[in-house]
Formats: sequence, structure tokens, C-alpha cells
Amino acid sequence: MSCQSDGFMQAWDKARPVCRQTHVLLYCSLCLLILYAGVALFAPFLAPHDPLQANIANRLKPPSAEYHLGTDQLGRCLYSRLLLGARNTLLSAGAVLSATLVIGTLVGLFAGFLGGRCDFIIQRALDGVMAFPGLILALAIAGLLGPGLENAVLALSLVHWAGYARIVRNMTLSWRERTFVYAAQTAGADPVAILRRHILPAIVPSIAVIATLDYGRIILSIAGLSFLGLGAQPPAPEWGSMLSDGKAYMQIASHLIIWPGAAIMGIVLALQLFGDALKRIWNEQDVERGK
Amino acid sequence: MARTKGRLLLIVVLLISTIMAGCGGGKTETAQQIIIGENVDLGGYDPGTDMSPFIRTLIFNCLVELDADFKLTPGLAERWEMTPDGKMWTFYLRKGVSFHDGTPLTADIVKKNMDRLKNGAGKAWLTDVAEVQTINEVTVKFIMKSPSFTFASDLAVPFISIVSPGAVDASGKVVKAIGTGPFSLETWVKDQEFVLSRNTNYWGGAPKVEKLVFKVIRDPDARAMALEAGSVDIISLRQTLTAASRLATNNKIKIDKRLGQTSEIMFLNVDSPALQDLAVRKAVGHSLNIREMIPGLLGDNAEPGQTFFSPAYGKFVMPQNSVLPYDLAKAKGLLDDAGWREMGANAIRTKEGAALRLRLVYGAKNAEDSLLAGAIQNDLKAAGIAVSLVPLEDAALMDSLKNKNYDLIMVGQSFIPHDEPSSHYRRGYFHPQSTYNVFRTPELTKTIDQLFATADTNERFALHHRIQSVISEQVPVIVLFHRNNMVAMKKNIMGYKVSVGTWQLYRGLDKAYVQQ
Repeated sequence: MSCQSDGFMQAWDKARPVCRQTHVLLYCSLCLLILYAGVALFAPFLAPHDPLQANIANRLKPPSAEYHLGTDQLGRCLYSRLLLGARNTLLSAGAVLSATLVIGTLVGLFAGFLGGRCDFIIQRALDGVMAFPGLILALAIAGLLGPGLENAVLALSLVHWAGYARIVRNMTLSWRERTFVYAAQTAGADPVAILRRHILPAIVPSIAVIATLDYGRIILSIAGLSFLGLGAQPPAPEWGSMLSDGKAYMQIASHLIIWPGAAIMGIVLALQLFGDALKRIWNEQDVERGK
Repeated sequence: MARTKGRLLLIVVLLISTIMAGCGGGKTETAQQIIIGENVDLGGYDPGTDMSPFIRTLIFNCLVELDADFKLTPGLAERWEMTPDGKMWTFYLRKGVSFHDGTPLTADIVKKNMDRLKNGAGKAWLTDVAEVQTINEVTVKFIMKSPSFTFASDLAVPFISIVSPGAVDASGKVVKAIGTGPFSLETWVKDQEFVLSRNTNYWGGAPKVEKLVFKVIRDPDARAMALEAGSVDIISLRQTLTAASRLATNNKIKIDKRLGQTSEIMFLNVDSPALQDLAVRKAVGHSLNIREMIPGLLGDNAEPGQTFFSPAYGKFVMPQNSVLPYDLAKAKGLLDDAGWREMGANAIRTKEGAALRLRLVYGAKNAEDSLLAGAIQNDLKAAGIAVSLVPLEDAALMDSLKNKNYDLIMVGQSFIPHDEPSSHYRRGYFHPQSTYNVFRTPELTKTIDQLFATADTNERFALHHRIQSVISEQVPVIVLFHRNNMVAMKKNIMGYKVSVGTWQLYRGLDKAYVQQ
């Protein structure tokens, strides 16, 4: 990322328009994300074989015209499983993200806006949740609820919302001191309307960037839980559990772990680049607006 | 000039010969060690509880032992006899045996060991023992509560190893590993490695190799790679899925394989709503293509299930097949007749609105079972039976077995080295006294009790076959595969053969040596 400079360059960097590479990165990663979303949506139509149909005589075959990416340890079509896996992985991560976004934003907004005792109580609750390392707490909850993709989603949502709540609360705190908020208050607008019309729109861009970057992390967590056997249950295809199943065959059929691994890496990388580019562009616009 | 050259040549020749002499000396040396890549750590010092069962036979002896072929053979007892009513057993100890710490073996030590084990680690095997008496220095007598005709076999399980009195603390806990076996424990770094050194006074003849270094390498592929790289000499191929086939192509490595004692079995819950119908259980049996599934998925690791126990049990095993042959049409016919209606191709059968769904429970850490579970699910789907897979951790798996919380459950059969499989029926699964309630009928209970009351060997064989036949007819269990015991080793490791007993995999290592 050549446009990111350090030292005295930073001042100059802020003053010039966002460099072209940022836009190129933005669009490239956006294309990749659209591709992933398309695969996840249309997977059942794209898959050439039944992803659950085993055929022992055909197991661990290298890629061929019939099986584009070869077959897995039970002779199932790896390509079809990878496509269907996109659906399980991306949708469940999406579910975690939406749940955490909604809960985290609501809690954060109210804590930040109301302040005082209410804020104090919410803050201590957040401290409590955030004191534990997230993934380990999620592991414990998922273990308690029993293995399954729904439970993995629930477990990750339960530990993940606190981070958003804290960020949104801090942002709300700074925005509510602005003159236009005071103006609205003086004009007699009710608190919910102020939150909805004035504060929420102001923090949405930042939340969007954070959520984009976070989506990748959640995908990794979902895949991680599935890898450990706490997420998607066999024979359902999911990238993390495909990796876990395939690792025993690493030496004789490496395609079993290369493709799910590449799929996870691709989406996480695309999300990271997209989030980064988005952040830079919005920062630039803020600078231009003189905020 | 020529002279200088001659002198130079002389010096070079002298130098080379010195080096060669050094090499020659190295070749005749006796310091030999064999490095073994092993799955599990030593675990502890007590052969009755925490020590890895695979290592026990190298350090300890029992009164009676099982040899490499799984036949009963004298251990610390030279010979033994039983009164015709089976209520008194006398064991005559081998003379001149001493423990690694120098303590000579006496009848008194054996009695103390038995008294300690009776209420502890050996409880399950010594329940029939009323009293242990010492007759003289080398004679021990066991008074039994009830007739016990297979007591010698019971004493061969490694839980009942004889431990030196110097290894037991005041509270009766074994705190050191001091036995009479071919090797003694030298060092142990937890979860890394443990070293056994040979017992030169071993009563069965001193081992050829001086040291056995066990390196704990849990990952099967890492173990195989260590062997290929030459950093270990022998690896155990337990729980490996791909290593054996890969190593077989390596011309520096040889694989020793032998049909072992253990089988992997799948119990069917005869009390579950769907499986209480014998026709459905039979349909499950006929739907599984075990003959193709096992070689296809597990290769050299296993033989497809055929008989009730592994054929390694010899005459104890009913010769007829106890596994139903693969016959999908027959399976479908049975389900049709039982009222489970076919709902179209690839759809789940239903009966009175209920779908034919079964939960298959298995050990999540068991790589073989995890793989088989997928194949079983697939085979049963073809017959219209939906299977949901429930992989569980070991403790939860045992709970599930105990509480009958399964439709189908995969477990290992006969891990404990015991040449006489009676305990499988009574203590195991098929009798009101069993730990696990799998399947019982009054008739079966009577036959099992009759077996325990019969002294005549041939009659006992016939009873074994009858019990196995009665159980097999009702299909509460499907034998999936018989496990092969396998090790891979460098070609220069000689004299070591794998045993039939699963826990006795390393038993032959006292005869092993490295060929130079």
C-alpha cells in the first residue's frame, strides 16, 4: 500500500486526493466479494454434483473433467462441496455479524447518549464480557450448547457484541457534544429522534468499515469452530470442517486442504482490502469536509 | 621427488588405516538403542491405572501372560493348577526372579499386590477372589467365592501386574515403575519422551537392545515423517489413515502387520422406537456394504467384519459369519414389510407420519470411526434411512453408551488383552450384570450363566458359539472391522514381530536388535 506514508509525509498525504491505487483496490476487492456472494447465493445451481453423495470407489481422486477439483475422502465432489460450503460459512458469519451489529449498536447508542449511572452499569457489563478472550469464551459456550452451526453462531454472537457496543458508545459520546445535537435538543427533539436522525447517521460510516473488517474475523472464527468440530456437523459442507477432515490426507491428497484454505483466505483478504480502502476514502472525505 | 611421493603415500595409507580401525571398532560395539515414535505418553507409574497400557508389558509381568500369538503362557508363575470345582487356584512362582530394584520375588509380595489390587485397579478382575494365601516362599493360593474356571486368563490382564514393594507408598499408591519385566524405566520427560533400559537379569533372557527411547509424537503424519527422515526407527501405525499406504512404497522401510484382537463394532439400540423392530435392524445390516467400505476407506489398517470376535480369538469364535451380507434389495423389502413406506428416490422412508431417522454416535477423536460414519450414513441413505452423525468426546461417548442415548453407536470391542472372551458377554454388554445394557433375554442370560459354570473346555467352546449365534440372530450389534496391528520400521531393525494383543504391540521388542 504505497499511498500509506509515515512521518512528515502524513500531513501531505492527508491533503492530497485519495490515490488511484486505493480505488483500484476497492473495486478489485468489491468484485471478489460479489463473486463470493454470487457463489453463496447460487451454489445449488452451480454445483455439478450432489455435495453429500459419497462414492468410496472414487475417493481421493485428483482433479479431472468430471470432478473439477477432485474428490474427498469419501469420494464426494470437492468442487460442489466448496460451492455449498460458501453458503454455510458466509451465511453463518453474516448472521453473527448482523446480530452483533444490532445489539452492539443499540446498547452503545443508549449507553453513550444517556450517560450517568446507566452508562456505568453497561460499561461494567461490557468489561465483564470483554475480560475473557473472545474465541475461548465462544469455545466454552459452543461446547456447552453442543456442536452445531446454529450454536456456533449463537456462541460467537454472545461474545462479539460487546466490542461494537463499546465503540459505538465512545463515538456517541463524542458526537453528542456537537452543536447540532445541542441545537436539536434545544428545539425540543426527543432523545430517540436525536439518536436516529443525528447521531446514528454520523457513526454509520465508521461502523461499516469496522464491520467489513470484522466480517473476515468472524468467518475465521466460524471456520475455526467448525475445524474443532463445534460448528458445522458432517456431512454438511463448511470450509473449516472440510479443512479439518482433509488434514489427515495432507500428504497424499493435498487438494483437500488447499481449496477450502484458499477459499477462506480469499474472502478474508478481500474483506480486509475492501475495509481498508473504504476507511481511507471516507477519511479523505472527512478531511475535505474539514471535520 | 619419487621418494617424497612414496613417503606421502605411506602417510596417507597410515592415516586411512587409522580411521578405518576406528570405524571397525565402532561396528562391533554393543551400545544399541532403538527409537520408537509412539502415540501416547507414558502417563504414570502405575500399571493398574495411569501408565499407558501399551508400555506395561515391557516393564512389568503378570503371574500368567499372553504370548505374541495370544496364547496363555507362564509369566511369573511357572505353572498353576485348579481344583475340579474351580474354587481354589494354586500358582507356583518362578524361582530366582528379582525386581529391577533387586528385591527378590516372593509369594508374600504377590499376596500383598493382590490384596492391594483387589480393592483398587484390579477390582473388576478379582471380584471372585475371597482370600489370597501364601503356602510357602513360592506358592500362592487363591480361594474363590464361586467357581471360576478362567481365573488364569483373568490374571493375564496388565492391570494385575506385579509391582515391587519398594514402588508402593504407605497409602498403597504406586509411585515408581519398578517391575520384573525386560526393561526398566530410566527417564521420563512428560509428553516428550521416556527411556527404558534393559534388565540384564530378566528371567526370560536379557533383551538384545540396551535402550528403548520412546518419543511421543501424537500426529500420525508427523510420526510417519520422522520415520522417513530417519529420526526414529519404529513407529506405531495406530489411528493412521494414510501413513501405511505411503510408507509401503518406501524401500528403506518395512511394515509388519498382524490381525489383532480388537474389532470395531456398532451397537443398535434395541429399545429405540425404530430399531426395536428386528426387521429394521436386519435392514440396517443388509444396507451396509462392509466388504467394500472397509478396504476402500481403511486399507491395510483393517479387515472387513465377519465373525462375532476377531478371528484372532481362534476356537472361541463361532465359525459362521455373524455379519449380514450386503443386499440392498433385501433391506428395502424388509423395510417395506415392516411398514416403512418408500417416499420416492433418495427420500426418507416414513411410517405413520414418522420419518426413519437414526442418530449415529461415535468418538469425535477416532479418525477411523469419523470416516466410517460418513460411509454408513451414505449406505443407509440408499435404503431410505436418514442418519444424523453425533461425534462425541470420549467421556460423553461412554455416557451415551451407558444411558442408551443412541440409535447406532460405534465402539471398540475387546481392547483388554484377555484370551477368553466370556467377560464380553457378562461384564460387558449382554447380561443383567453387564456394565452396559445392550441386549438381553432370559434365554441368553441362562446360557451365559451356564458358560460361567462349565469347566469342560470343549463344552465351553460350544456354549460360546451358541451365545454368539443367539446374539447375532437378533442383530443388536454389527461388526464393522477387525483391526490389524501394524508397525513400520527401518529395514535394519531385526527380530521384532508385532503381537496379536493390541496393548501388547511392543511386547516383542526384547528380541529386537539393530543390524549394523
